[in-house]
Amino acid sequence: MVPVSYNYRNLLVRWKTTLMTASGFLLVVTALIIMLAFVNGVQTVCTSSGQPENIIVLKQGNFDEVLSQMDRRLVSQIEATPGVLRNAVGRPLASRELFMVLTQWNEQSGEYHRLQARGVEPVAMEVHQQVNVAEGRMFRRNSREVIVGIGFARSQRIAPGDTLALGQWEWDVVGVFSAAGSAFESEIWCNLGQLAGLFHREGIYSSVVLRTAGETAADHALEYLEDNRAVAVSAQKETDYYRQQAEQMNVIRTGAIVIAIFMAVGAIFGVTNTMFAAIGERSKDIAVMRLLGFKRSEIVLSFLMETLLLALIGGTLGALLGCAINGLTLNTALGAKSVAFAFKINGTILAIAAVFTLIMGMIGGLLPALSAMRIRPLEAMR
Amino acid sequence: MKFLTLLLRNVGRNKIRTVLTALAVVVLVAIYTLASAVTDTINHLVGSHASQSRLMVLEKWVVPSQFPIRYVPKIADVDGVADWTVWHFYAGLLDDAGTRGAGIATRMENLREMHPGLEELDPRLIKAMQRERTGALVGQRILDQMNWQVGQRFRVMSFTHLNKDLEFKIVGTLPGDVWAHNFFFRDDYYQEACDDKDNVAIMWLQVADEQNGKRVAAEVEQMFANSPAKVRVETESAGVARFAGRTNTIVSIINFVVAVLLIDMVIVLANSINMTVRERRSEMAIFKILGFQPSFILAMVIGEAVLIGALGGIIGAGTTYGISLLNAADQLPVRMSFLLQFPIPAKFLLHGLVVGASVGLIGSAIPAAHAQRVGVAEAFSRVG
Amino acid sequence: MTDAIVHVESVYKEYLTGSEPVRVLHGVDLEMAAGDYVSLIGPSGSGKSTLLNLIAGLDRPTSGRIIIAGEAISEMDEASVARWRSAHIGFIFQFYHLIPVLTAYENVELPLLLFDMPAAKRRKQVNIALDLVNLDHRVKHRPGQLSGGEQQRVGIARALVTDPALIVADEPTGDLDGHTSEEILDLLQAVHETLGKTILLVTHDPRAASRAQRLVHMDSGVLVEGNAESLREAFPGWANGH
Repeated sequence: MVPVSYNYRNLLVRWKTTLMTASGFLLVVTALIIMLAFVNGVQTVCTSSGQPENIIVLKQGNFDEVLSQMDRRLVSQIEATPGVLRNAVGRPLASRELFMVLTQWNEQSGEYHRLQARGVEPVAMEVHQQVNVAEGRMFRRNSREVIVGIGFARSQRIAPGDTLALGQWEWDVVGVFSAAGSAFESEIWCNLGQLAGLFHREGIYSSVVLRTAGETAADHALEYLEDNRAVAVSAQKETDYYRQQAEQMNVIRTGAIVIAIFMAVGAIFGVTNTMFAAIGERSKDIAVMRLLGFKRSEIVLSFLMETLLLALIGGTLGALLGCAINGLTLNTALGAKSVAFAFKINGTILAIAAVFTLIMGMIGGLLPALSAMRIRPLEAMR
Repeated sequence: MKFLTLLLRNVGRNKIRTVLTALAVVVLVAIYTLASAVTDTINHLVGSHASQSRLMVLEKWVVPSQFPIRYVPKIADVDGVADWTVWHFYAGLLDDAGTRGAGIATRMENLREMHPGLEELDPRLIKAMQRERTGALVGQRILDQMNWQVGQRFRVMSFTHLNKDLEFKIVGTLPGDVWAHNFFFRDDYYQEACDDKDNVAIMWLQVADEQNGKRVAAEVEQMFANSPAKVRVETESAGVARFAGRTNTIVSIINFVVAVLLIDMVIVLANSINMTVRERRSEMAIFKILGFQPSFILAMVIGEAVLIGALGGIIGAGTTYGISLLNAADQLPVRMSFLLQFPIPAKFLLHGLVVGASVGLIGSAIPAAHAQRVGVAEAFSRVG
Repeated sequence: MTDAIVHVESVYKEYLTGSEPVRVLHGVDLEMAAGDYVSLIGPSGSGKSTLLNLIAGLDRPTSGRIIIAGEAISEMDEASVARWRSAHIGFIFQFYHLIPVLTAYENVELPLLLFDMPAAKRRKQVNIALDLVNLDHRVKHRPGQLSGGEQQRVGIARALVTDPALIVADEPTGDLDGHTSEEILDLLQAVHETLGKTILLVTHDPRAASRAQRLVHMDSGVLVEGNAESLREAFPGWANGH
């Protein structure tokens, strides 16, 4: 076998070209990782939202809380669903909620901001087990107090002790809650009655979330609600509800891969170019090796190896660069909501990047390597 | 013999290299045009709604906006309101595949005057709409996606108004790009069919100018400051900008991708030209010895790169443009709805050319600078 | 100003390689009158190429003056020398150095593109030059399709096309076989005799050297006039040609 040192020494000698060619790979890998990390980050928020033993019930025909409106009677019927757990004092674990998207003028930034407010009752904390007050405390009943999700707190730089305008009232921020990285973390939670009163929606609810013993119990409860004609609702497992909201991300993921493929093609052309030139320059080397007794297949393998080395260098640097974005938090619009997410890189993404790199290297190196094989030693020496 | 001839000959020297480099540019410019089409479409929509003399009246806080219809005549009476109209939103699925239609119910009498982009609408269509209660004026993209013709009837399975699936008859097409994804229909039909006689979503006001606008806005907001349902008034440009701000993250990512693509192109070209210059050192020396100025050599190298770049650019842009056209005319085996939503405008052909040429220029700058400084000793005999 | 075509006066040239300056030319003097045919011989590393570079204005002497065809080129700036060179000096190289993507005709035409000349006049001059080297029939071919001898003839035509004051030939026969070398040398001789051109021929080849009228010898940066004697000394084993 032609020693690998021949390849990497040559790459070192022509370091400027090596760097430029490797950059082609670097860019593809970095861009790919960043785009996929974006998609993954948003999807993580959506899939970690909700628990499989919870059922979210909306007005029939609705698939989004924002437009769903139910009255007291309907909500009472929903709460009577068999399978709903009860707490220590016998109260059903059914959380009545009023979810509203509000536009609020922000003096500081001089713009309108979108806020997601959820009016809840105390039982909500027992139904949504993921939600925990991390800083400060829970708001008091019948008060103009709110707790904010950690994502919201971070992006708006709000802390307990600040005030927040919702509608024409100033509310006191008394706590910050975490919710296992879910969409709830971009929300503001407050007392249901107060919120409904402020916006003249007394007796109107957007959803009811029921807690059951487990997934099987949840399935039974769903069946009950579906079959029961008297109760006109659309019910889903909480996890399914949020996952569906993330579906638009799949389109973006496809788009990202398409873009990366195009860029990879560009990088492949670049490396093919480079390797052809390299072989042209080193035709005497190749002739000597053939005369010394190296086989044609060994020459081909050697140049293929060199291309893979180039790809590896570029790909590794690209991965390192791409990984720098891991954990960066941003907001993005998801339907009517604005969701805080963090770029998230996982093993799959790195694996995809690695595969891309390998394939680029192999395809890019194939043609030039084959041409190296066809060099006729004695002619090249002349 | 002209300079261009020399460039062309040089470019044809190493055909494999030229083809590979040009192809790389073709591919990258193709994606660049697609990505730019997205941001361009978004910006275009925002830019076309940039009036300071058109105001929108909305519910003050809650999204989606909705306020009592009884406010409308009072607002219309405010001094300075030259014209007004109302909007009701009505959206749903147009087919089983999930194609969405966003409908707007509004007054027909002043449809053309109150909506930017509809100035070109044929007045006879307004008359037709006034005759046909279930009539609809539909945007081009919807017609393309659904393959509908004027005169056809269609049904919408609404998700904004449950169990109120309405039927419409297509009376005409909406001109231009601005409303291409929407359809307009009569507000009286909406009110009756959806049983919604109490509210409107948005009210639009036409005022004389920005100054008047501020005054009218303040007055209207004040008028209902003590009512249970409050309103806010903003200029069209502010409102739309706010809406566009929501797509910020996506647009940023697209811009980032575009930047990366451009850098990639520059690198590919720089690499290619570098190799070329290295191989032609002694030839460059000859030009110098013959008396050509270093600037000539610079021009020669840059010229070659710009030629390849421009060629790749126009082919790349041309390809996506061609595909976009064929897609819209339904000549392709598969319909790409993405391209229907974000079509490639003709001006991108020029963009592709300019981007390709610029990339050639930037990529060859450093190699060209080196080439012009090549030492003439290269040319003299090795023996002496 | 002298009437000499080439006037090299006390020229010294030093290069800075690393920390120590290396002196390549040690006070070289050379004078060539119009119509002189001078051959410059000497071992490798003697400084022949350096002197050539200076005479062509491609480099500047560390000290001393160089006046070619009445122009003090050692005192001109680079841009001006380049222009001047295209009009006054014609080069012939060992490895021909034709532009591979241009045809023979276009290669000869190339130097003329630096001047403001109407196309018809250009055409006329190119044809004259090609005619002189007997190459009218192969003009549309590219260098890759020509033999070594034919390529060199194109090189000579290119050197003549601007009607320069001085022709510098750097090992013109170095890459050619015996028979073709003779042809080229005959051509050079014809150029000298019929056109009265001033020629400076740098060479290793005793055959070529002997064609010149005058011999100068370069050794270790010093130039001395030579004669047939020095020719025999420089090329021992060569007597009376071959």
